[in-house]
Amino acid sequence: MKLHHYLRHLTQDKESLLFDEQCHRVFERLATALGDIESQETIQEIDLSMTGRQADYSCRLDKTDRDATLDFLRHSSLAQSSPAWKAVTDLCAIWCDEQSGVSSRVSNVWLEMDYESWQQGRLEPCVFFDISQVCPRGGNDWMYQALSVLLGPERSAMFRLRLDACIDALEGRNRQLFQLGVMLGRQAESARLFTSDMTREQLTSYLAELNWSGDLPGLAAKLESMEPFVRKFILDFDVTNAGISEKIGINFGLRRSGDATVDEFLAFAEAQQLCVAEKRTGIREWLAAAPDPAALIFNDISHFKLAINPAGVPKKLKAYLRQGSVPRRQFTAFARPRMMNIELTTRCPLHCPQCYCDLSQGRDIDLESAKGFVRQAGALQMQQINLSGGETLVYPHLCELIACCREHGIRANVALSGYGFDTEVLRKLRNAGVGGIYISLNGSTEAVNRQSRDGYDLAVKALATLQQENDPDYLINWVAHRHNVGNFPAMVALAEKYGVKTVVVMAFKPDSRHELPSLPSHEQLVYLADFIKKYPAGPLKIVIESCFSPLRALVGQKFFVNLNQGIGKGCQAGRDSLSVNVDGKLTPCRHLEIEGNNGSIAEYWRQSEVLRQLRTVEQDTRTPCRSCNYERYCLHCMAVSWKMHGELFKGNDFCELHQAINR
Amino acid sequence: MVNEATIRGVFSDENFVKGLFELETPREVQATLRQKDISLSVEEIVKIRELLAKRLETGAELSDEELESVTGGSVTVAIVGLLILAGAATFTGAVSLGGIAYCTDYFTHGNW
Repeated sequence: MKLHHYLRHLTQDKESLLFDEQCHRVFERLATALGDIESQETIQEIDLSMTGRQADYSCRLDKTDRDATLDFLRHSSLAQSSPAWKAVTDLCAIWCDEQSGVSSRVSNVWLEMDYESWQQGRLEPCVFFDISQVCPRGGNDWMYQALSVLLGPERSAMFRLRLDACIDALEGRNRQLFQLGVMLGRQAESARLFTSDMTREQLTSYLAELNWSGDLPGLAAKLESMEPFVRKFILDFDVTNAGISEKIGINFGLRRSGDATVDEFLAFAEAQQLCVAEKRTGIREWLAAAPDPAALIFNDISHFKLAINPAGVPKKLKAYLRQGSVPRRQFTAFARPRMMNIELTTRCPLHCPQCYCDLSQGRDIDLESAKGFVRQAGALQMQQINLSGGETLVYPHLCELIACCREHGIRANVALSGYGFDTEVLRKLRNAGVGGIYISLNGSTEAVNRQSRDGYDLAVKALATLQQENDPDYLINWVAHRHNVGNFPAMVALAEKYGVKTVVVMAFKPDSRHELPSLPSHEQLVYLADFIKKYPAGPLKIVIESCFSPLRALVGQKFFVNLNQGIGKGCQAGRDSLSVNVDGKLTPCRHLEIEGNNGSIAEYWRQSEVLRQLRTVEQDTRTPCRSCNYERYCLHCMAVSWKMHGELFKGNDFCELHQAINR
Repeated sequence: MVNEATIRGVFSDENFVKGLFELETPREVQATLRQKDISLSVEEIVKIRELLAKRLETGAELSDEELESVTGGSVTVAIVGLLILAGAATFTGAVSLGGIAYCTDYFTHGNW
């Protein structure tokens, strides 16, 4: 992801307790100068000990993006703007050079922009590169090659003796190094060394061996006082040709994960006068912020650092606030919905046994009402809208609504039975800008399909038309039942024959009578999971919708972990999606018809009590799910709880996975 | 004897770590590690999984004593175990979006 995405996300909250207006201006300056750099992780370093709301800004440059980074540096004006940026560009060049020792050994490089220098218009970075592959008494010429680019050959050679001594002193301690940094932005005449994590005893004995001149017993006592929260520390210090600095940094993560642990630690720091109350509140807000669904940016805390002054006394406590493209902590909902379903009509000429819709009164959603929701969705940067029915194609304004979605930058998908579908309709849908066309089909033969769906011939004819027209984006929605699981391989073969891109394996939800008559057995779920796991990668993909959480838990079970975790593991209602019913009312899901208020989507997302409850289901898992081996890796369809039991907070009594485990 | 720097080098390859988390049996893990010249017994690999399960379940770091009790003092097991734990931090993060294998598809399908 490019830096400007992170920075834009960062500057959205103008009321932040952590960054003031001037700091926001620096972020904007950074976005202008460096916004096109690719980074998977950025960090804002804040001082918890003072009330000032400023941050130094860092970004991680990964090996996988290094060619793009070099290209950016060479084509921007940065390399010519100062010796510091030229040094960064030169470092990147040898990192990209496969012949250099640096190329294979450095997995990432960090750039840090000091708030003060950027605020004053000195746009220069500090640089830190990965030295985890440096070995005591290993020569490590490649590290000095990189250092020489940053500091110049003379100073690099001058520091080598001292650096080698610091590295060699690690021998026998079973410890490694983490990073080497040069403060180009501060015109520092030193290199900063970071060790890997150490216990208190290892750290103090290492400092003693390096002849650190600070108060070692005082430091040891301070670290000991932190041990209820911290077990390992990363030490950083500056190396010059005169020796190591008196000023050192003690970096650490907390023993336990979780926001409560962070808050407990900050309370401890506050009592030690190392953290001011506003910053503690600001950190709470930082951690509570729901992830941005448009850019997929996630907040957490990378680590903390105690800055130790020459007397060995903690001078400052800093927090390193991380924004990344990978979530490192669990979250239950996005800040805004990513996806929405609109029920266009309850009219349908077919009679599918599994149908969950009330088709007794045929009616359509009002076009202007639907467009209003699409406009709101566009303003919320929603990414997809699924248009369904009844039979989607009988809605008279379908193409107009699809065009409206396109106009607002939203992908509009449609689910079709095949009724009324032909080449001309396909042309109109494509001209309107439709995204995925999902054909509903539950069996490879008419006999299998008709047990749960109507219109086999229509669906197959639609697939033939899509193939014949070389349509780029068509899929099959296949709902698993007891009667069709054995037919799934034949279904996949049919999908391959018709050039289908994806088969979506869907869970059977309660039908219009609120019944679940033909759920797959445990053995069938295992059979299905096994087939999906073994199905080879190729032009056809098989995916499992989130609602089918028990099957995802089975497929996700690996040796080390079960992959079915986090927000994608199960029911999405109110977490990343919602629905609009044919009456123009907001509901949590197409299958969870609990009508909300008549306010906006944004208000509903923020204020709905039902959505709030749906986001907390895991906090109070009920039987039988509570005793299931897959409890942590499964979040069943809430429509089952609601329609079959009349309550949301209920375990899934209909789950065959659980029943088999506990038989 | 494999040294720590070599093991760290192997585990700095994100795709390799992701691949490890996709494996289904300890023997598959053993064979994959062996390709990188890291030899562990099946029992040791099972112990590493215990480390991981403990870490993920409690959210707590492992003490040296706990590490020692699982690894039996083997430096290689300890390093591989810790690196797998470290990988898990990132990996399970990616999983939070619905699993590596179907992460990209999770957003596209459903809500019908």
